[in-house]
Amino acid sequence: MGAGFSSLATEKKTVTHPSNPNISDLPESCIASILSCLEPSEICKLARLNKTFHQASLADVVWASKLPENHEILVKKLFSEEGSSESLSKKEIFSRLCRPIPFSGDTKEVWLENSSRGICVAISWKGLKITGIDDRRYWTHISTDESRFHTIAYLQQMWWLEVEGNLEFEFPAGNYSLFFRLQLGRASKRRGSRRIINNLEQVHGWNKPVQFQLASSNGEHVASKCYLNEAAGKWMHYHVGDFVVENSYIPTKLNFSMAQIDCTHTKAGLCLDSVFIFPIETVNKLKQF
Amino acid sequence: MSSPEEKTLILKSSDNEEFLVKESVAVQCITIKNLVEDGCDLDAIPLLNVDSKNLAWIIEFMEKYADSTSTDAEKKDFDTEFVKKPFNDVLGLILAANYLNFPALMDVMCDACANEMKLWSVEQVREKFHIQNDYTEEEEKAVRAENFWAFE
Repeated sequence: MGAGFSSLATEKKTVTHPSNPNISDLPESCIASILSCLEPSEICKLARLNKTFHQASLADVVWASKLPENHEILVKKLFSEEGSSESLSKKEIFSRLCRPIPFSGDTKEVWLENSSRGICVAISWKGLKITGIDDRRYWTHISTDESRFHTIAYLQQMWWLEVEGNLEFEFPAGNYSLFFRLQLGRASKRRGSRRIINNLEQVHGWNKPVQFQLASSNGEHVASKCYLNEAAGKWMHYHVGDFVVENSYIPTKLNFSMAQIDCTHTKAGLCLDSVFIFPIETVNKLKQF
Repeated sequence: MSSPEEKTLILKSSDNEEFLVKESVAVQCITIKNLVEDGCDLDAIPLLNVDSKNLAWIIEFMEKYADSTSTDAEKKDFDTEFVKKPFNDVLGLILAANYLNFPALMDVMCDACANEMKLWSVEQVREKFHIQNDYTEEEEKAVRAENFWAFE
């Protein structure tokens, strides 16, 4: 008789299989398999049932499929102070990635979108190259809660609007969209007051389109023109273009810009917050674009 | 001697019922696959932890999944009907799939079990599925605090 037969006969002999089993009769490994089928919030809810469920909820197998395939690279890049990824459980890695992690000083943030398991990046205007940004005749910098970075740049008046950015990041394989978050008209909010006053009188020069472009290291290049004056007074995400990442293990290099350099007229009254990059699945789910 | 593709195995349940199954179908259970590859030459393979009720279901599932003519949509429809069993039977199949190391069946049954459990609050799950709470109040609060991030 081979080793296989005796293993079938004796392995798991200690686990009695009752004819009418209860959940409590399941070994921890089976409970982990059940939990793997659930969303993170559901897993964490059921972890409170009893100690076996809690223990099962900590298993790497439950969280591994919820992480991007290149999470080990991301951990090395983003958690460098916290030790190597070997010392962190998959659950810990997941919980940390779910919350925005700053990188590149405080000018950029990355997080794992819970609902779609995609990696998202936000780049503050402070992380972009803006012509004349330090010249107070043209741009002012405003502290505000309307931005996740708590600051926006406001264009008072200028002939030459040019904003450029670069990013090198190990995006997991997939399709992504890039947006500029912009608003025409300056919203001001007095401290302690909820009233927002939108100063639209200063807005002018947007009757000619703005040029957007995006280039990625896999050779894709998108250029488009868009009029900004449709939704004055509201923050809008202007879609620049999409890019595809095929290899999660090679950094993707992006170059993107917006420009309106027609010198026949000045532009005024633009609020610039940040650039966002979302996986296409997240864009579809969030439905605010 | 029959050709390898047609070789059949006899699987014997814990209550001594014998089932004839094609080897190519049965090896979806990795435990059985390992036995066959080890050169097991028994007349019948005894499955000490699987009764005839569960074994009949498992064979039904195995045969559907081994059928190369069934499409993904047909398999999905089959799964939907297959899991419509009393909850205790769902658990019994999970235990059997675990014992036999049958990944496809494990996935389908665990998913069914998860779908059943996620509908309820923690207290309701404990009541419905007779789960003993072995936490003190402080311990349970600690678990809740540990996982606050999942609900943000």
